[in-house]
Amino acid sequence: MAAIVQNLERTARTVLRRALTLLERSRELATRIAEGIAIVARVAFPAPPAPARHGPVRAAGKASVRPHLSGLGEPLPEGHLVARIAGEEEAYRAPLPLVEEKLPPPTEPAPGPPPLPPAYFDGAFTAMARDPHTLWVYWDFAPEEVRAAMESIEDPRTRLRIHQGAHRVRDLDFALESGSYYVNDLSPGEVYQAEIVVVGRNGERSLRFSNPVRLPNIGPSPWADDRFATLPWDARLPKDLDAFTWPLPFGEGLGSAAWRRGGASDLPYERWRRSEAGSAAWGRPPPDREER
Amino acid sequence: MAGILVLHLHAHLPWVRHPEYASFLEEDWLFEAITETYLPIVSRLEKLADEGIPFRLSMTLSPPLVQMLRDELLCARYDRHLDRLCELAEKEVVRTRDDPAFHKTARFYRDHFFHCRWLWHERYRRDLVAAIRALQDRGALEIVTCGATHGFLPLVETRPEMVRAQIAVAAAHYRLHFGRDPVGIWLPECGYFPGLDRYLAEENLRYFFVDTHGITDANPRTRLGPYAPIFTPSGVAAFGRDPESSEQVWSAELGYPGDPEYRDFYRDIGFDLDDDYVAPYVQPTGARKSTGFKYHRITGRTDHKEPWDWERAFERARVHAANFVFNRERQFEHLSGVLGGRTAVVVAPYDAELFGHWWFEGPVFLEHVIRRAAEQPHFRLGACSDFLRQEPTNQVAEPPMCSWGAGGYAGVWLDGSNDWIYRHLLYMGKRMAELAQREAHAPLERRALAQAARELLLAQSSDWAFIMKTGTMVDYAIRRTCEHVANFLRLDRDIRDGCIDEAWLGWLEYRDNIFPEIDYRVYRPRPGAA
Repeated sequence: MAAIVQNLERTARTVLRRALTLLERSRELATRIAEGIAIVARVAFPAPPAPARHGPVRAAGKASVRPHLSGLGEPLPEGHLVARIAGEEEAYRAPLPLVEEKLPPPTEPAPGPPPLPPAYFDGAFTAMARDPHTLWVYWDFAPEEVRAAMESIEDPRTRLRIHQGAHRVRDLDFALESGSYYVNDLSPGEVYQAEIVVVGRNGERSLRFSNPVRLPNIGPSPWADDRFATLPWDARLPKDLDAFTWPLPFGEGLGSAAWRRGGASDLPYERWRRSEAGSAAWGRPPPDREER
Repeated sequence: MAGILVLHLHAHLPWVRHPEYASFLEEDWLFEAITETYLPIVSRLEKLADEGIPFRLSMTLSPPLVQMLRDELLCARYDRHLDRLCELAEKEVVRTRDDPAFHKTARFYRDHFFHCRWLWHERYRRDLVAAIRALQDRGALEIVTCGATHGFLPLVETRPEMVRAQIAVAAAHYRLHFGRDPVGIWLPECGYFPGLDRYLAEENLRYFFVDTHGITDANPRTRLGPYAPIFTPSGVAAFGRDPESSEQVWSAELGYPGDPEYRDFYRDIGFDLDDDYVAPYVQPTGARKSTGFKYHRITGRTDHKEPWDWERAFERARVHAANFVFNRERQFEHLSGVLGGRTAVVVAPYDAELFGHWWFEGPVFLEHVIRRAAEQPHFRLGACSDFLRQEPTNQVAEPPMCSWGAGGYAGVWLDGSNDWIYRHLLYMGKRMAELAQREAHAPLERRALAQAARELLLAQSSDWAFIMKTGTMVDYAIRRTCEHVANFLRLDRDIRDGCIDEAWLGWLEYRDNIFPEIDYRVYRPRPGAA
């Protein structure tokens, strides 16, 4: 093991030394670029041609190897690995592609945000808990999947079905094209699952189930089963998670965790006050005072 | 000593770095925070430590903030920003020479900004992270990590690789910059979901913070409320925010920062003075912006603002600090009885930028809180690890899904204004997990994979969704989100097709150069893990 570590250290130091010179040069250039000396920057690093004229480089091809690293025959050391082997200072100076190459922008910045695909058709149907009463679901089905679900269904339409365990608690007509839906007025602390079904005059067919989601509970839990554990600070957390099997047993636990029931059982349960103010509650500048 | 007061400063700014522009307005977020918050706080903490005042604060330095504070391009731009402030400060002294109401303040600003420039260049050598790290090494601070790019984790719960990457990348980044393992984490927006503790335990993080209801609504019901941590099922401790101390500072209505004597945030000569005078100090387009020179106090709920008197305001901060400490003393006395003699912990977390940026007198308040706290016997200022060392026995329970945003859950980051983000993020997470299974031997492919990981992380920043929700600077937040998504999608396609455009990749690496150390394999799915 020690030999491996030494070998790694030697390798990392060699690569670091070779790169340091280049690194210093690139830092200096970065400063110049920052100062706006565009001419100097252009001389040092010719602006890359526009993507249309500059053919893509195949990843495995010869041209894909960066000139200053070609010939080393080793992959780049990972920064955190260097940190562990050679110390933080070395890692901070590691030969990372990001600081070695200070390139001017290939094109003028676009005036607006780039367009994103309206859909990926990856079959996603995901549910998320928004708050104790609200579930948000979104979907992204391939057209062929929807067509297949609608096949042989007469006059088909889609319906969002909300299940709570074995119970169907909500049946909502909705437009599949909307892409998402907020389901309101659900019960806190309960587990829900959404389903999209295609219904028609001659029956229905399930399109997909979402992941199950538990909405957060509000207020003190009705489960009053207090158990205390001792975890000394200098003990590492057990790797074989969980540290405490869940739900909690008695007289068990892993590693240095020591169990006992009711470390404060003689105390009454308080109704603790909730916090109202949060980071979002603090005043932000009104839009008319924002600069852009 | 009846308890420990954990005064936690959460310092975070989103990654904003635009080398493609000669100057960029949103980079001012960092520059203003350095001048108004980080320099004043760090220098005050140093002074207190040098004087031998016993104290220990808790602080987050988010990875994007650390990286920006150590970025040469941004540091060079901050140099220029600071120079312009000093130049304007000189002009202001001249401009106000016949105006006694404002001249004293102008002289104050000149001294203040020149002192900041001295601190930045001479004392800290343009490396505030090193200065903060030194405070941690002296024991005056406990620095915790944060999500890698402040991604709101409850909304990516269905993609474990995304959750793990936010935590693992942040922990690795912390080791790189602070030379030790992080012991705690500030979950972005205090966003927790049941099961998240397992990811934290994987990095041996020992504690995290939640809002009050993360403790009071935990399962099973907690005995000691937010005044004792709970151990989650994996053994990581959760500390809850104290509502009382939070409200005294946070509340826009009742909090100290709303006092009429304090400096008004909005009135600024960048908006008030003639075009010709302020033109060199506002946007190159001529559009107005804040300059940092503000001459009025809050005064009250009126458009008429009285001149700000910094001496009176600083004195008010001292009085408020005394009041804050007095209230904590009474609180700990009360808790001592309620908790049956057990050591109580009061966790008072604040955005660091509240002190100085939003509330200009905040750093003065902090200094006096520390001085006062050192003089009383009821509690001491400490970190969460201090409490866990002292009280290793705690109740086992699990917080529900929660956050510290308005409403207490995910409503701020998931509503009609920003919900469109998540289908892109989760798709990217799925694709990244697939890409991460590649064994890239060619350096170019490794670079592309690493950059894809960076673009995904940057798109996740909770700040973008927050800005869309709050309605300020929305265009920028949308643009940033779309750019990172589009960059990722192109990288994904290029990597799969084996056609990586090296020139474009090089440009991306230069612009979005956060986490140079990143290992894309952090996104590899781990069977059987959390």
